[in-house]
Amino acid sequence: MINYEEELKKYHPSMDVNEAEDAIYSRDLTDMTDILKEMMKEEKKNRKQGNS
Amino acid sequence: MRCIYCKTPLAAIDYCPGCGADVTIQKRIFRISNLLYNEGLEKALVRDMEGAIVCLKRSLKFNKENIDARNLLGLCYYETGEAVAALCEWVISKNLKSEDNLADRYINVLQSNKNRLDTINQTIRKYNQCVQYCREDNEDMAIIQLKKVISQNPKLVKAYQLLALLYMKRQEYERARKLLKKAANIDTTNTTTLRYLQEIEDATGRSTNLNRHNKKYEKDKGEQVSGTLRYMSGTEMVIQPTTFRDSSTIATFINIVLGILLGGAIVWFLVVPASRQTINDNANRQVTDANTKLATESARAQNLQDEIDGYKKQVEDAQQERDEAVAKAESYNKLLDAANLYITDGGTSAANAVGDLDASAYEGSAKTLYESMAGAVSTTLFNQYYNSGTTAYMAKDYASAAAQLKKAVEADPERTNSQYADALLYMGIAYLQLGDQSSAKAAYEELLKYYPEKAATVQGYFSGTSDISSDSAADLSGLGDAATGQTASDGTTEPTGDTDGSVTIIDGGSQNLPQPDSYVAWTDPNTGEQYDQYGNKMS
Repeated sequence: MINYEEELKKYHPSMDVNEAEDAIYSRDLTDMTDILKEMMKEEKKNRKQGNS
Repeated sequence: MRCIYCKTPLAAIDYCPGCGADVTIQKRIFRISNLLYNEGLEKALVRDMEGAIVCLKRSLKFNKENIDARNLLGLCYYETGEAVAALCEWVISKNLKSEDNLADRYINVLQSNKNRLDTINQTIRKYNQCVQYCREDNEDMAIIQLKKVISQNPKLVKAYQLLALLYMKRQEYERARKLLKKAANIDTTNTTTLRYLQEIEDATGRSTNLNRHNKKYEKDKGEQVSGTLRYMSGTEMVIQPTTFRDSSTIATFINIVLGILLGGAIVWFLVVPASRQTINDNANRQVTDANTKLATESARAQNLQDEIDGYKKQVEDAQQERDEAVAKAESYNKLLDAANLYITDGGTSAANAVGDLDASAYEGSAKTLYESMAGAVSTTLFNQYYNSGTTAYMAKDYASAAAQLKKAVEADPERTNSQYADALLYMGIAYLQLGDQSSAKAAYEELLKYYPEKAATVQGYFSGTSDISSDSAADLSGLGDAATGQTASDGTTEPTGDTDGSVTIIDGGSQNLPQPDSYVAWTDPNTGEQYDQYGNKMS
């Protein structure tokens, strides 16, 4: 049985044109390659610290 | 594919040719991203937009530079009515790859029609307002606005779903079902849509058939598959028909012949019967109209004939009335002439004139006048009719005698004339001679009624039987003594004077009765000649 009130909470306002620019700029575009790069940097950094 | 560290294009080996870094994980990430893109593409092809969006988002999580995935994600957003979200993806895609990017074309198409973009933007704002209305329990306004949104942006799946949810709350399940079916046409496996439809099915007990539209898409797809075969040959796309059609001359000729035969069959089996039916219907209608008109005219003719017959009867009645009026006028003229004669002459001519009149023809004053004149000339009339009757009697003209004597009797209703009894007696005898025994009996009964002393005379010839023979002989024996009241018979019957008035005629009485001597029974008043009781002239 569908609960109307609960169901209504799932509907959110859509983004209009005026909000598009902010949405694009604020978009988190981090992907797995970014994370991989970050991890590799961390790995290199750790190695350097270990060697020194 | 480039190395994520030095941007050097990578080769088939697991190391970067530029920096020598291990790119195994990077290649694996890219393969996963491509795998998710392919999955999203397959779902988008069957219009599973929601599933496609999920896959493409995950694909972009692995590789944000997967341009195809991002462009397809924008298309999926655009197809579900969220044009602004699509525009965002395409803008990002263009920023990531500025050249040779389909996103550039999509953005141009969207921005080229400013009105279209404005309309979509307005519908999104209205939709947001509707969500607010719903949260404020202003559902009527929300429904009105959502209907407008759907009419302006028929791809906005969320609007369909929200409106269906409102209808479901009002238990208007069929309306909700209709909206959800439209939403399912846009996004076939949308979880929310299917969940709502399941709820409607549970509430109404009737399942929703979504196959019709799916079949449509499958049909289109099938036509594409069966119609042409597309494949890439190097950089060129080859489009090849999948079926082989024989286009030889004989086949063309056969096709033409078959077409003609098919056309002829269609005409013969469909067009001709329809035309025939139409013609028959028209003919039947005309016959019906003609029969109706004929019946109407016949009824009209009958009415006219009845009218003519009525007029004829009126004419006949009028003519009869006219004839009666003419006859009446004539009788009145005769009455007036008789009155004139009576006034001027007062003698025989007046009596004759009055005697010629018909008493039944007069009414009222005319009848009174007639009766007055008849009374005044009754003696004259009696004598006239009596003389005529007795003359005819002597001449053995019994019919005239009876008629004249009857008139004489009728002319003297008061029986004032001394010869009244004789008139009755002779009239009865005349009737006897004519064989009219009933009239004779009536005459004698009247005679006996008023002149009982004449009974002896009458009974001398008749006895007390009731039968009257047609050939009875009239015998006037004893008539001469009638004036004196003495019988002329042999004394078998006596004039008693107390007779009951009945007269019975003896059959063959003239043969059996005694014959008295001749005597003067009648004297002609004109010539003075005398006649006996047998009507013989006496010397």
